[in-house]
Amino acid sequence: MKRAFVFVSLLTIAVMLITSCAAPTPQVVEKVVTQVVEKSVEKVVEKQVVQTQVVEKQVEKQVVVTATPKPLAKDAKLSLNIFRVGDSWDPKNAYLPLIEKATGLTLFWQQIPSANYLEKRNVVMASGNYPDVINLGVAEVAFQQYYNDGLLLPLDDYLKKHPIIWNALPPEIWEALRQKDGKIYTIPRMSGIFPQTINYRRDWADALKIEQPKTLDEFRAFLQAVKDKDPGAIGKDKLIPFVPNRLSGGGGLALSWVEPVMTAFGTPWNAWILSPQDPNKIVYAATLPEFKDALVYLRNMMKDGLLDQTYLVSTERGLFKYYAGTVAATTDWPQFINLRREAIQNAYKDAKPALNYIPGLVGPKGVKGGPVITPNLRGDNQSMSLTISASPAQVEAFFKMLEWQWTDGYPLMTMGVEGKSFDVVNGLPKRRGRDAILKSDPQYDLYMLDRLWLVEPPKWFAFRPDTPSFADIPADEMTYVQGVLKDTVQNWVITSYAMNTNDKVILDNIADIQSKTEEFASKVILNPNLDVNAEYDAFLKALKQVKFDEVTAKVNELNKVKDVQAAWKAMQASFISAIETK
Amino acid sequence: MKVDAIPAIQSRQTRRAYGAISIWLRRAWKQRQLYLLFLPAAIFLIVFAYIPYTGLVMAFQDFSPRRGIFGSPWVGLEHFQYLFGRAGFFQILLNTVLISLYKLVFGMPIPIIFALLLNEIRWIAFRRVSQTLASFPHFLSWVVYGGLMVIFLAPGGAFANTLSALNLQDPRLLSTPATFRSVLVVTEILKEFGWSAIIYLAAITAIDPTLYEAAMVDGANRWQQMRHITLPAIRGVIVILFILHLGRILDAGFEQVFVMYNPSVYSVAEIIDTYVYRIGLVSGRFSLGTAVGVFKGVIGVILILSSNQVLKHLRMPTIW
Amino acid sequence: MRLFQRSTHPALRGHNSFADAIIYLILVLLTIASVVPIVHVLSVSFSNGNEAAQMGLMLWPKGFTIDSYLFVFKGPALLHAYGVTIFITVVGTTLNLLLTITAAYVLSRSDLPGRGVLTLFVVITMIFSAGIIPGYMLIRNLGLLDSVWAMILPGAVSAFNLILMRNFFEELPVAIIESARIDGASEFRILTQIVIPLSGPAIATIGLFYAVAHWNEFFRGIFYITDSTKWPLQVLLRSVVVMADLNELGMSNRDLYGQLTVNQLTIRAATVMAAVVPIAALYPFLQRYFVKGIVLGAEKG
Repeated sequence: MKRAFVFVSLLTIAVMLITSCAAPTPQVVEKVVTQVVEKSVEKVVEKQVVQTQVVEKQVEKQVVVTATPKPLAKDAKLSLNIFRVGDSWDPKNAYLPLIEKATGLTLFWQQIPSANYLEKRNVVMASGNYPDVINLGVAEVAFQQYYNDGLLLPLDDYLKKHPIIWNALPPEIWEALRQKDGKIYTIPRMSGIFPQTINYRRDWADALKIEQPKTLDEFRAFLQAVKDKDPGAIGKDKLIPFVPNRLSGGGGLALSWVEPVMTAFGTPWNAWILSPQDPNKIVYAATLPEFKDALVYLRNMMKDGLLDQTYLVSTERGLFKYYAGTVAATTDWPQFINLRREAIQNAYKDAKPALNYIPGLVGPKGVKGGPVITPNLRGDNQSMSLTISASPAQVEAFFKMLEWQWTDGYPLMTMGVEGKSFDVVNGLPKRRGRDAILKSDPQYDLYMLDRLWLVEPPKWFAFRPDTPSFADIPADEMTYVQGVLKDTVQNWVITSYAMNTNDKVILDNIADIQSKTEEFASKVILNPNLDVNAEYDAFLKALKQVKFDEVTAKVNELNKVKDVQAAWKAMQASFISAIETK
Repeated sequence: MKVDAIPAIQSRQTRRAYGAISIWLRRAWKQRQLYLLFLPAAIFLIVFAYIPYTGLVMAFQDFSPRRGIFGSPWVGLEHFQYLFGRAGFFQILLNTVLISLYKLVFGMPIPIIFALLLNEIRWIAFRRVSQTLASFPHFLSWVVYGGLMVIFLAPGGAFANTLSALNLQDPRLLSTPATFRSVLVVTEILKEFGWSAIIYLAAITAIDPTLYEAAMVDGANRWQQMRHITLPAIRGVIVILFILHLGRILDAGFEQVFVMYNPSVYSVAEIIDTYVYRIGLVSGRFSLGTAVGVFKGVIGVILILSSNQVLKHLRMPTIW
Repeated sequence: MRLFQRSTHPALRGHNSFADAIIYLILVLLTIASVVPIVHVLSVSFSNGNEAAQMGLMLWPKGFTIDSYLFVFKGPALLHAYGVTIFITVVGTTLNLLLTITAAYVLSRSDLPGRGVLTLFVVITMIFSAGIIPGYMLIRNLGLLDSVWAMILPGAVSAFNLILMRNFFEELPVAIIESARIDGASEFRILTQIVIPLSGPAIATIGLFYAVAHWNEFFRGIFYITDSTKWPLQVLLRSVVVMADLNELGMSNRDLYGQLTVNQLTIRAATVMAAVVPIAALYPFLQRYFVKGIVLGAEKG
C-alpha cells in the first residue's frame, strides 16, 4: 500500500516537474545570461571581449529558438514575428543573419509547410496570440473573417509615408484592395501575368507537317495525327496526346486547366461574364447552354483517346507527364519554356524538343477563345497583412524592411552573396546552379531567399532577361515568349466581372455554386452515355437550392460593368510595360 | 412506539439513505488503493481532455479572438442551424453514416477471419511473415495508398487493362456513383485488415490450450473447436471494438475520401469533414468548426450509450 | 526457430490437408494484396524520375538509382528528426503504458464502486474532442509550445486503448487475483507481480498501437512546434516534398533536387520508405510476446 502511494505520488510529481521544465522561461534564461555576464566582468579585457561575444551568441540563440516571443526589454532590438508559407526551410541559412544585420531587426520566422498553412493560421489567429505579419490574400475567405473581427491593421498612413512602395503599383490596384471602411489592409504580391495557353511539341507538328493550330478543330486534328502516327516514337501505351496541366485538385482546379477549350465556346471555367444577350448583365458562364457544348467536346476527346484518360480522377500532376516527354500538348504558362524543354530533353536524350505556345483557339461557332490570365488583380494568397499584435513601431519597421528589400537589399535578396551563390561573369552577376551551391555552401542555398521575402516587388516577376528567375532562358526563346505574352495581354479574356464579392449571401453560397458546377461538369466529361440535357436541367435546379438567383443579383449590384472593364484596362497597360525587352 | 408517525418514516428513509451512502463510502474506502492507481491517468485526462472542453462553448458563441471566450456574445444554436440548413447537408450526413456503417459491417469480419485463419496453420514462419506483411499497408498514409488505388483503378490503369484483356468493359469504378462507396470500403479493408487483426491475434493467444485438449478428447473437429472455444473467447473484443467504432461513426475517414474522390461522385461520397474542408466553411470561422465537432461528439455519445444498452440486453460483454 | 518449425499447440494436431491448402491459398492471396503497394513505393523510390512518371504500377525499379535517398538523407536535419521522433516514441510509449495499465487494471475490477462513472469519464474523452483551437490554447498556456512534450503529453492516455486493455484484464482468471488479495497483497503488488506478467500479448499490442501512433504523429508537430530543429520525422518529411506550385517560379528539377534523375514522385516515395521502414520493423520483433504467460502454467501445479 505504501509502495503504491509512493509510486503514484512520484509519478505525479515527476510529470509536473517535467511539464514545468519543458520551456525555458525568460527568468531562467536571464539568470544564466547575467551569470555569464557577471563572470565576464571579472576577467581581463581581451578575455572580456571573447566572453561578451559568447554572451551575445547565447542571447541570440535563445532569441531565435523561442517561437512566441515574450515582451522584450526596452532597449532590446525591435522584433517582428512573421508567419508565412515556407516549405523546406533551413533555419541555419546564411541569409537570415545578413538581413537582420542590414535592417537592425530581430526576425522570428515561422515557416509553415504549405499543405497545412491555412489550418495553422486559423488556429494561431483564434488563440489570440497573433503573429505580427501573416500571409493573407484579400481574395481569401479568411480575410473577410479576420477583417470583420477587427484583427487586421489599416496601412494607409504607412503607405503614404513610403512612396517607393505606393508607386510600385498602379493606383487601380490599390483601389481594388480597399475594404468596406475605405482602408487598405494588405501589401499585395502581384506575381505577374501567367496566361494559360496551349504548350505543344512544335517538333512533332513539324514532323507531321502541320501548322500551328488556330481553331479547335485544327487542334483536334493535330492531336489525332500524333495519336495515329506517333512522330516521337514514344509507343502506343505511353503516348498521351493531350494532358491538362492538372488532373485533379480541390476547388475545380483540374477543370480550370482546360480554358483554351472552355473559352473557345465562350464559357470560361467558374466565370462571371457578360451575358451574350445583354452586355450590361453579368451571368455565371456555366449556366449558358454553350457550357454543355464545351463539356461534350471534352467528353468526346476523352472517348476518342485524345484526352488523358485519368483526367479529373488521378491524383498525379499532369505537367509531370509532359515533363516525361510522352505528351503532345498541355496547358501551361509560357514563362517556363526552358524548364519544360530541359525536362523533356532529359527524358529523351535523342529528341530535339521545340515548344510553342498557342494563346487561343477559335471555337466551332467562331468565338475567339483564350487566353485566360490566372492570378487575380488583388494579389495572390502570399500577400502580407499585419495584425493588431504589431505595435506602430513594428509596422514602421515592417515597411522599412520592405523598402529595403525592394531597393538596397534587392541585390542580396535576388542574387545572394558573391562567391557563394553567384559569380560575376563578364561583368554580369550570374547565379550558380542550386546543385553546385548545395555541394559547396549549403547554407547559402538560394531557395531560402524565396522564404525571406516579405513581399516581392512586381519587378521580380517581370519577364525580362535581367530578372534572375528568367536569366537562364536563351535569348531567342525569351524573345519568342515575350511576343506570346504581349499577344495574350492584348487579347485576354476577362473571366471575372465579379471582382467585388464582399457580401454575406455571395460568400455563403459561392463555394456551393462552384461545387455543383464541378459535379455537373465532371459527370458529363467522365460518362460517355450520360444524357447531357437532363443532367443540365438537374444542375440548374440544384443551383436554385443554393440561392443562385440571389447571388447573381448581388454580383450585378456590387459590380458595374464599366468599372470592372476600366480596372482590367489599367492592368493591361501596366502589364505590357512589364514585358518590355531591354 | 413513536407518537408522530410521519417524522418516523422520514427519518427511516433518511436513515436508509445515509446508511446506503455510508456503506458505499466504506466500500470505496476499502478500495482506496485502486482509486490512487487511477489517479495519474485521471489527471492527464482532466488536463488534456476535460479542460479544453471549456472551449466547446465557442460553438454556441459568436467567437472573436479579440474578445476571447468570456467576452464573445452568446448565439445559442445559430451555428448548428446554419450547418443543418445548408443545402444538401442531409445528403452529406447520410453519406457519412452510410460509409461508416458499410465500413463497420463489412470491415469487421475480414480481420477476424484473417486472425482465425492464421491461427489454424501450423507453419510458424509462414504465420509470422504473413502477419507482418499484411500489416504493412497500415503504415502508408492515405495520400500514398489512396493515390496508388486511384492509379490502379483509373481508366487506363492496371485494373482496366486486365479487364479489357478479358474482353470486359471498364466499369469506371471511380467515377460511377453506384460503385464508389464500395471502392472506399474495399480499399479500406485491404489497407487495414492486417493491422486490425493484431488485436484479435492477441486475444486468441490468451486462450487456455487445455480447453482445446479437452474439446478434442470430446471428439470435436476443428470447426467445432473454432465455434465453441475460439470465437466466444474473442467475442468480448469484437463487441467492444464494435461499440467503440460506432461512437466514431461520423468520422468516415477524411483523408481517404479526400484523396480518392472526385467531383463526379460528390453526391455519394461527400462526408461532413470533406465538405467542411473543401468549402472552406470553417476557414476563419472558429465557432463553426467547433460546432461541427460538438455535433459529431453528441451523436457519438448517443450511439455508444444506446448500442451498449442494446448489446447488454443481448447478453454480450459490453463497455458498461 | 527453424524455418519449417511446426506449432505444437494442441488445437492444431491432426488437421486435414485439403482445408489446410485452401487456408494457405487464401492467406497467400491476402498477403500479396497487402504487399503490392509497398513493393510499388519501394520500386518508385529506387527508380529514375522519368521512368516513374511514365509508368503506372511498378513492381520493380526502372532506371535504378539511389539519388532519391541521397537527396532525402542529405543534411543533418533528417537524422535529427529521427532522433526527436525516437525520443517521442520511446518516452511517450513508456508513459502511455504506465498510465494505461494502471487505469485499465482499476477499471477491470468489477467490485469497484463508481466503476461505471469512471468508465464513462474515460470513454467521453474518446468521442468528444474539443478541437484543435482549445487544444492549442491549452498547450500555449502550459508553456509547452515549441516543446517536445507537446507531442507526448496530450495523447498520454488513449481511451480507446484503455478500454481494450481493460477488456484483456477482465478476461484474466479472477481466482488468482482473489487469492492474492486474501493473502494480503496490495493492489500495486497484484498489478505488477500477477497481472502484468500474464498480459504479455495485451501489453505488446497496446504498446505497439501507442508506438505507431507516436511515430506517425504529424498534426501535433505542425501546430505546436515552430522551431524546425524540433520537428518530428513526419513533419520534416512532408515539408521536404515541395508543392509544385511554389517551385514553378524559376526552379527546374535540376535546381530543386540537384540532379535530373529524380523528381517529385521518386522523392516522395523515398520519404515514405524512410518513415515507414523503421516502425514497420517493430511489429515482427514484438511477435515473440504473443505467447501465453508462463506463470499461469506454473501456478496450476
